[in-house]
Amino acid sequence: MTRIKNLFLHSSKMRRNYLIVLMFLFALGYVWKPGFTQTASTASVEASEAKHFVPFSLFSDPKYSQLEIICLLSVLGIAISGLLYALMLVKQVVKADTGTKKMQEIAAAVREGANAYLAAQFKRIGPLIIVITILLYVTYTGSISAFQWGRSGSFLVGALFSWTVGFVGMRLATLGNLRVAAAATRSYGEAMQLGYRTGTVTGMLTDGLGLLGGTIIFLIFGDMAYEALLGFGFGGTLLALFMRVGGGIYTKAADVGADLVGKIEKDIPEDDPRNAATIADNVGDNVGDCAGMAADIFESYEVTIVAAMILGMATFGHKGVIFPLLVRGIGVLGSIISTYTVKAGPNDTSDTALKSVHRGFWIGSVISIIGFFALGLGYLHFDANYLSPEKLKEYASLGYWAVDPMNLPWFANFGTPGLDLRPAWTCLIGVFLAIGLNKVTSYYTHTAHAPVKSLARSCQTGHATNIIQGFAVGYESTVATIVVIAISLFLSVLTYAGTPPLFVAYGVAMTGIGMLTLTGNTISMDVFGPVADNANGIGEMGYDPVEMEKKTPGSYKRARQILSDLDAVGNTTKAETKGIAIGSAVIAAVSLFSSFIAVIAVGGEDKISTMTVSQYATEAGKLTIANPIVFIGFLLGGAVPFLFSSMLIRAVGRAAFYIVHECRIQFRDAEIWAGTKKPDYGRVVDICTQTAQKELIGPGLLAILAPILVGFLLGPYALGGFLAGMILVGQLLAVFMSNAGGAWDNAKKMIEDGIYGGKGSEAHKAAVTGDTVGDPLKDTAGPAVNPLIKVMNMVSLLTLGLILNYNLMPPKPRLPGTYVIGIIISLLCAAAIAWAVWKSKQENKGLGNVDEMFGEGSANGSSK
Amino acid sequence: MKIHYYMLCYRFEALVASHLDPEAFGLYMSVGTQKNTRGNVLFFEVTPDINSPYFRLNDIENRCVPHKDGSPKRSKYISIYRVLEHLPVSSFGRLYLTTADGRVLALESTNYNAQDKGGANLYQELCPVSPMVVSHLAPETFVKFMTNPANPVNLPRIFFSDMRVDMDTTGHLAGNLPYTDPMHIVDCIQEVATDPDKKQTKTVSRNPQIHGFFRTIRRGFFLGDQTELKFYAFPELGRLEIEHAKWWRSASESMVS
Repeated sequence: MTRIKNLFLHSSKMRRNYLIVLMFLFALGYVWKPGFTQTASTASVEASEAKHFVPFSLFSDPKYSQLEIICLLSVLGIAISGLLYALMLVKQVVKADTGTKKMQEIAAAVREGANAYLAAQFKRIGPLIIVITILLYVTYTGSISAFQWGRSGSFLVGALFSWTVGFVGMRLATLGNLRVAAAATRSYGEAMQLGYRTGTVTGMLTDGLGLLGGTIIFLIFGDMAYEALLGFGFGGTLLALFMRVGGGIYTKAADVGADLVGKIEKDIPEDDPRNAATIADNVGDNVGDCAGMAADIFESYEVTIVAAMILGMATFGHKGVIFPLLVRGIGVLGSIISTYTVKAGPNDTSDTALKSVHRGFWIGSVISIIGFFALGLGYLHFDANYLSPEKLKEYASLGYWAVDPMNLPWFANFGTPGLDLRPAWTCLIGVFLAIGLNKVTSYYTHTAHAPVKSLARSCQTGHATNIIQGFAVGYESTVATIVVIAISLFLSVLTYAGTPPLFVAYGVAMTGIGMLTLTGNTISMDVFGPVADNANGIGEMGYDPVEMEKKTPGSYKRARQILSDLDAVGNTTKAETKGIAIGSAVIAAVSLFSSFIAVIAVGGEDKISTMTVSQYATEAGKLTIANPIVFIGFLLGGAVPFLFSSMLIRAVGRAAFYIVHECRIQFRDAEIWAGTKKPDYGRVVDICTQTAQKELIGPGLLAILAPILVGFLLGPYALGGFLAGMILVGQLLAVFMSNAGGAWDNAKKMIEDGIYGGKGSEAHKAAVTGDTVGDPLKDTAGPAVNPLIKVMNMVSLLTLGLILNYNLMPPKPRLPGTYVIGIIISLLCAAAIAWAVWKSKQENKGLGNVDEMFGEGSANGSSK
Repeated sequence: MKIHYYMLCYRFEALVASHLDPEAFGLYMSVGTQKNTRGNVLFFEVTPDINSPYFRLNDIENRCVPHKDGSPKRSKYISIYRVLEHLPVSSFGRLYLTTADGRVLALESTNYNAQDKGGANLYQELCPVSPMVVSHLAPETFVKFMTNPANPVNLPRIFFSDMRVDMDTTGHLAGNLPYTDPMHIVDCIQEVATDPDKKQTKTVSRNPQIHGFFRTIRRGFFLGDQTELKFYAFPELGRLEIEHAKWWRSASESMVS
């Protein structure tokens, strides 16, 4: 543990320094530079353009009504309320009973390990974030310097917020798990409520920070917020990718390592304190399922609002930007109310607890739906001059019949001229999409339904049949998921039938907004999983059965049953939210894809609002697979999620190799076996931490550089094809991996609960094989594909300006110098990707250098 | 150092002298060396006053000595063949059930006075041979039957466990029982039940792999011959879960037979 402490202390110093730098740059980007730009008296063209930009100008802009400004400030207030609600819950959690000394020791070890991991990750990613901030600054191709700062500053803030969500959420989870284990000795309801509220802290932090960031950016930059929004979204996305990838590698390396040595080789139960990887396994639950997932949803939350605000500005003007913010405000309120209603009685079971969680989601949904339409009825009024006569004429000439706000279909305004409820309708579709994805995921991964039952049944005939059946279930689930998403998109398209493509894209973006309205509830459900899992582990290692029974007869068994039930509920809720995470990535990507086409059409986000329909249609028409270059991009894009997944799964294997080796060494110690000596948990935590950090670089480089390489080498249309292929294949692959893995996991749990021979039977062994195969799929590669999809989209959008100027496939010949830049960038990207792939294929070089890599272990000398 | 005597009765038969106390000995046998036993280990503590010319015990004090570094001698094998039959029943002390990862549970012998309700029993013979059989004979009768010299196939003494055959409502074995071929067990039970006078026992398997062995134990373990019977009652589930929580968790989650 000393090693962890040292690492953490050292890294906390590092972290503090980074924080100071980040905050300084944040302040520069948000306050100093816009103000400077406004007062600078340079004679340059840039300055003359920049003087049109005034920070916080919407407060004095007559275009914005007083009511709108009050609403925006209210949204800001709601975002802060969400954060205050999280703070209130933090106090409730922290105040709760912390159990016995032994339980506290175990929880402290998990907490230390988790802190050390995130500190080490921050140390590694920090410099990269600063480098990208500088790159974003220097590669800005626009003419308004305030946006240059806004973009890079917002990137920093987005990254910082994403990290905060992951770090605080994970820290709370490591505090909450102990308290849940302690509460389980008293009451089911108390334990369940504490676990859920621990998750809600992360949920509300995501809601609050996401809304706060988007609203502040809009208040500062107003109509011209697109660059800053993109930066904000990219910051959150990139951090989420690293947290997802690093957390995913960590959690599965620890889990697989612990299981391979513990369960398979040594035949000891899960969470046995003699297993040196036990603490790392519990740490992994937090860094993977908690920090990674929270950052992932946070980025979806950001990216969908970024897409909606950019497209909203291009379609409905400032109302199109403000409405998504207001909807998010409603969502935060809905989450505050509904998460507080999630309760369980002292003698409830997992079924009633699950119903309570679902009831909370339904209550939030109803509040949100009522809120969307109330908001729409009050706010979405447009006058006859909302669109210029020229635009109306253009739309009419192209056959678009549902654009004039005075003449919309009945469902859009219920016969009230000027009212346009279509954004509210698309939000409603989003809510149903979230519910639909929940149901599909639940159907394919829950023990109550046919697919998992069929997997459990197939275990009776052996390992191979279980694997075969699992593939079939996983493949089928991708179809169901994509059909649900396609239906939602189709309904959004129908809602905006008779409008130009950007309006349709706005509808899709609003579907994403609606879908993530209840982010607070979604993350509460997700984080509840690792909290309950860890609490179960603490109960297993920390409860004293004899002492507990002496105090209150029957209390030990009851407490263990409560923790086991909560673990089962947590597994279900965690699995359900994975569907939403993947779905949100697709919706966000589709929305961003429209922005991508629009930027190609007009040359920059700042000109999207001036784009004509024919410009958009012309560019969209070029993105056809009949064009071989686009098709090549499409093929390459489709391959990237496979390469990315392969790199991650190999990384898990490599990290697990070292963990298995270390555990074997420690198991040679007779005192550890006898339970008279504590294993060196810290060493396994160190190995997991270091290997996860090392392994995340390659996949991270692939995610960032692959779209840049394709863009510069093959041009923007190939990049469009690349993104399309990557979104489609990424979605299918992510759903397959998550659902097949979840189904294998639950099939094993079904058998362990006492069918087909229960634990130890031949069927159980087959189920364990399925679960082991599924683990890195569902917890490492599958979830990491979500941020991959979003990162690649964001990188493409952010670099599109440069790609248009310097790609090697220009429609017309350019100056030779531009080709040189394109060639250099392409070569650099290709070399870096090749290096990443080469590194990912490196096998472990043996065990001779283990001590050199991770330091000398205390157990090495004591082996007997 | 005090010398303990242990009779290993599952997975192999041996009389061993050791300086280790029973818990440490069980741990050592399971995980203590590279040549450890894979799976569960069962052994009896044997009283030191073994009075049998079959075993060479007169110089055991000289043979079972601590190591040069002062550490205890973990195992000194006295005999590895026909041990069970040559030890007097009275010398068998506690029975120790050791899981694959070295958790040890001690069972005291007790009087067996259960009223057999009739019907088929499933017995797992453990020593000196290890088939699984179905029999409608009650345990004490089964011991006498198996050790009866008048039978063409008999044993001098037998050690076996009584296994669970809980049925569900459809007439199948309960789903949580980890037997490899539950349908075959049901068939054997039916065969014995059809004509109990003709067929008193039926072999289910000559050398079964008993996955999750301790989860299948019903009443307990029996050791006996024509004259004596010792019964080691297996604790009820409630007691196992509370008083022997670690052992039971290890035993019930075991992946090996």
